[in-house]
Amino acid sequence: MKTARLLVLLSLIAMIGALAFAPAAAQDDMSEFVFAHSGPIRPMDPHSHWYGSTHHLLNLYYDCLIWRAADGSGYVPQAAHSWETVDDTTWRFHLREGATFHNGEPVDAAAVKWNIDRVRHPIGDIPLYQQWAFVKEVVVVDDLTVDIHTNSPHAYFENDVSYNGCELIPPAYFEEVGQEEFNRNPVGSGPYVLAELSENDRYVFEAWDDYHSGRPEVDRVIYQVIPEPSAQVAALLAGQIDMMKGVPAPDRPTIEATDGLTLLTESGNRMYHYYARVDTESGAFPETFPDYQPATLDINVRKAITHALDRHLLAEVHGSASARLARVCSYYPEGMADKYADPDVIAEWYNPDLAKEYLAKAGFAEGEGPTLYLDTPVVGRGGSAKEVAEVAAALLEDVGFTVDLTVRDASAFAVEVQRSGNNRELMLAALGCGPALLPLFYNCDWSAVAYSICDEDWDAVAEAIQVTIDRDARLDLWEQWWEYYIDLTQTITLFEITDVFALNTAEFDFTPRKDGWMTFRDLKLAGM
Amino acid sequence: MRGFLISRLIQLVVTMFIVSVVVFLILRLSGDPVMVVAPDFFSQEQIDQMRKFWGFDRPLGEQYITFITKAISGDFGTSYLKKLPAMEVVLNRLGNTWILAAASAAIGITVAVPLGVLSALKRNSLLDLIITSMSSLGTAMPSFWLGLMLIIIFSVHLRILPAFGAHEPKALIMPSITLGVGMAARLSRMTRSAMLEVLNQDYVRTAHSKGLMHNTVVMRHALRNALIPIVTVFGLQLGWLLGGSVVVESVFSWPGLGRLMIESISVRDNTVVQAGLLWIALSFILINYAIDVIYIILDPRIKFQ
Amino acid sequence: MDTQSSHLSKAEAIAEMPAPRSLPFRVLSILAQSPVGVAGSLIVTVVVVLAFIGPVISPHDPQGRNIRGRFQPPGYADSVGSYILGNDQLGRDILSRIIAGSRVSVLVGVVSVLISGTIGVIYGLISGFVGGIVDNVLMRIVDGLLAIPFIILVIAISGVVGAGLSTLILILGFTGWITYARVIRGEVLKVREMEYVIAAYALGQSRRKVMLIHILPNVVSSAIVLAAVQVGVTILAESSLSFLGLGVKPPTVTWGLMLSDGRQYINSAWWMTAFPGIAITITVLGVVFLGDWLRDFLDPNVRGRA
Repeated sequence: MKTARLLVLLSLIAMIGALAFAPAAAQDDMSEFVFAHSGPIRPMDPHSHWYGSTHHLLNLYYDCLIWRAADGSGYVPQAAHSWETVDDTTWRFHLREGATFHNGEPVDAAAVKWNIDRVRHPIGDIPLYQQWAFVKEVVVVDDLTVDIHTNSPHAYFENDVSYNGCELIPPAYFEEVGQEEFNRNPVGSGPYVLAELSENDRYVFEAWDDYHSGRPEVDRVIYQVIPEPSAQVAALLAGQIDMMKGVPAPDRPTIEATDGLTLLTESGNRMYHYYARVDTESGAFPETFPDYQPATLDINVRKAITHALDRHLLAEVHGSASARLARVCSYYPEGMADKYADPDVIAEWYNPDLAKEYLAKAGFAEGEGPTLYLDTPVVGRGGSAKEVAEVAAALLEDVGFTVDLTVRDASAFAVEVQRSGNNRELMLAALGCGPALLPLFYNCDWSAVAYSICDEDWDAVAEAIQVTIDRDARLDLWEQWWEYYIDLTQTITLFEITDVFALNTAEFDFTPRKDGWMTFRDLKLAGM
Repeated sequence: MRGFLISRLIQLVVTMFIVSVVVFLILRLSGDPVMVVAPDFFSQEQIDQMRKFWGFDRPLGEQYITFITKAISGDFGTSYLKKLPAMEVVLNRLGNTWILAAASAAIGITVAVPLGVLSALKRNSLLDLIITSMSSLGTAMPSFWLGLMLIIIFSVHLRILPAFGAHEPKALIMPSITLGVGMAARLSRMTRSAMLEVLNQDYVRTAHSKGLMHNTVVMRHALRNALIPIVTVFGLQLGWLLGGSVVVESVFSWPGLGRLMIESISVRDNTVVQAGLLWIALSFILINYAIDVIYIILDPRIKFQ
Repeated sequence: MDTQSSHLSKAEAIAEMPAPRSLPFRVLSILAQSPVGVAGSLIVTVVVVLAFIGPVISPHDPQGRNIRGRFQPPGYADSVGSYILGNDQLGRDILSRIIAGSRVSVLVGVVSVLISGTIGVIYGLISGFVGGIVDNVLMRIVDGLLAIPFIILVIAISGVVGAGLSTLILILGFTGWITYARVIRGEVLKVREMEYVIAAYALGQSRRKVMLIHILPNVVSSAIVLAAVQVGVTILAESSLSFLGLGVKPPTVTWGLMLSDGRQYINSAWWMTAFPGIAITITVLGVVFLGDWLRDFLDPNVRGRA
């Protein structure tokens, strides 16, 4: 019976091994909120990367000087209790007395200066400095007062100073332990402390008793990485998680019919566009396609494309989106809700006859339009870019184009097309929709390959926008800017994504933020 | 025997060297991680700077030598994305993969060996037919599909088992069954044919004719000898298990090495992919080395050249 | 189902066969005695036939949408059409897509196995026949490659190369040969010592001639049995890769891609996941059965090695 015993022993060892490793679930009376994060979650050092969805959870943990209001209406204090402009290029921040990081280090002017200096200089491969290039100098006025000087008047100062990289970390601790150890055991000054970290899997935050603005209401907030939306839905229905973002359309009725679960919608802060190639020099294009003349060099062809696309239909195919013509989200004043977000205007924009006229102007006989190469990733951020591209191709063919559609997976698309600049006529671009950086992208001296368009007059308008601090004057400039954007038709905007959330409203009360950030400082318990 | 073990050990080192070259070449010839990692709006100058920072501007041979000398001392470089040592990132996940592999192997062994023996003993019976059909089915079924079906039944409809994660013991049930079924199917096929072969051999017949109890014959003589090919297959199956876990971990959002590999490959986090592949290869090679040793324990008559 | 005894009975069957008939007839009559063989070849034949005549018998265009009637369960019918196995997120007919997907499975299975078989047999022949240091080096390379599980190796390569249908076939072809190299080398070592090979040398035949005329034909049967097993492995590998988004890209229809689509709607449209999986399982089962039968018929020695 030796061998039988050997077998049983082997299996027993294996089973005990498996069970010994399996951790036990925590059981206590604390209120616990679990959010399904689609991942990936990047390092805890907030200055070392620009991954938005990681900064969502970093925001629980770190304070910035100031922060964007949840309803998109302006800015709210965090580490700074107030701030003002001293002159056109100087902003003054007043810090809170006695505020500390989780480890007791003071959040003072010197710490703020150390942080901003760190993020605005290229150190190692820290990539955020370009976004902070507007800062000329940070000056410590006294312990609790700090001035930020900008190179020129900076229209989007408050936006940029509360952008990725704004999170404050304790200088002494960081310098003592270094970046790697900091990523394992980060220290911040936000309303939650990090109780447990399983890298790119599970992040458990617990309320911090000593937060300057009071202990947050929910005791424990957990970010659980579940990449698949379908698995998130399954977990939600099984009561394992309390909230998810991006509920697939066919699952919505099931969730609505479930007691205690509610669907919420809000702008997804992402828009889909097609970039048209308007030059033959940028990126790897001249080597990859020598002597190739993209049809979209001709502005009439581009105008034919923009009028051939039925944006309402494309938004419907996407499943949760609203058609748009301008590439700033509709809740920003710059997005000009009346002029280019009006559904009727957009419906009229779709005009196959006009598209055919433009094609005729470009010298193509009826039904014999040029071939358009269209590159698209198989999974666009937040939706099914593939199906959208297939319908777009059909619409373009309706007016006489021939479309050659290539679908790649997201990373292959990034490497082979987008980053290398191997796009031919059209390429899908799924992008954020804030106005702050936008004018820069279309400048003549902008280096990234995808935006290579140059119009001196347009540049002048863009430069004026950047330095106009007065809001109304700036919005007037934006109106001019949009005329160029629409007229030059290099970027053909399709729609703005709408996010659909599911929330356990039996236990929690939460309004999705306008900026789309899944951060839970404002989370409340239901009925309180 | 000592000579054999030592010569196998040398082979092992050579094999690992070859693995390291293959892994390095696949990843380096595949293009530039910077292109994926850098944000949209980076200029060529900034991209060059990142490239230089990570040493991609050096000649390939030099990069390999740097890589392998550091790797020998346990330093696989820093993950481009996670800003942690690649080795640490891999080791953090390795535990979860071992849990899953161990549980699946346990299911595989406890199901497969008795069934395989049974179906060999009851050859040509209805029971044999059922067992062999089931095991063929188990080999033919894509494991990730079985996983999806289990999710539909137990998570979506019955809502009794979690569909993701590794932070509670219940979460281990479905992934380990999913992987264990394929393992059991392959092992039971092997067990059955190994048993049949042994049962036909002279000494088993002799044992029977000596009037030994049937069960004693099966256990003491037949199964023991059949174990040799079974253990070999088991070793090779661990490779299958590690491979299968890649897909199954993705289905169940299981935070193991497999999911880490897929995540890292898709974002070209090459230091992590290198460390992961080398760890998988090393554990595979070591386990099969251990199996060589078990051979000797099971059957001292085996001769070695 | 019993491989051992059916092997014996077939050997007897061959021996006791009366007057020699035509080869196809003989193969068929032997096949008829094995239920496993019959089931296997039946399934494989159906799948291959579907791959060829799919477009003719397919009830719908596999790409044909029905935007108004999407996510419909099996048995649904409207003015656009009726859907025996339901339809998907764009209202495309699941049955038609399964039929269309058989083409990719057959293509991937056959072509990449031909590639890997050819490479593996040549590699194994050289390694086993030349022997010595060459054999040692070649086999260490094989060990090295074997140490990385097949599917992980393929994922690593296709993840970095970026796959389409043809690249995927090449990748599977150029990674799958490792299995053959080992087995064929073993066979060559055995055959090399046989009397007639030694005799051939004694008669003054060249090494190349000995290899091609005497050794190669003797290892072909092992290669065929292995190939049958590998077809199943390859089909499964393709579906895993496409499922993970590392394989074939739309609009090509494959079962793996259908599963990848179906997974997204698993909570509300089970049929999108269930049926393509069943198609894969049945197909691979057919190949496994056929492989079992071939093994017994051609070469009982390879059993269990793949």
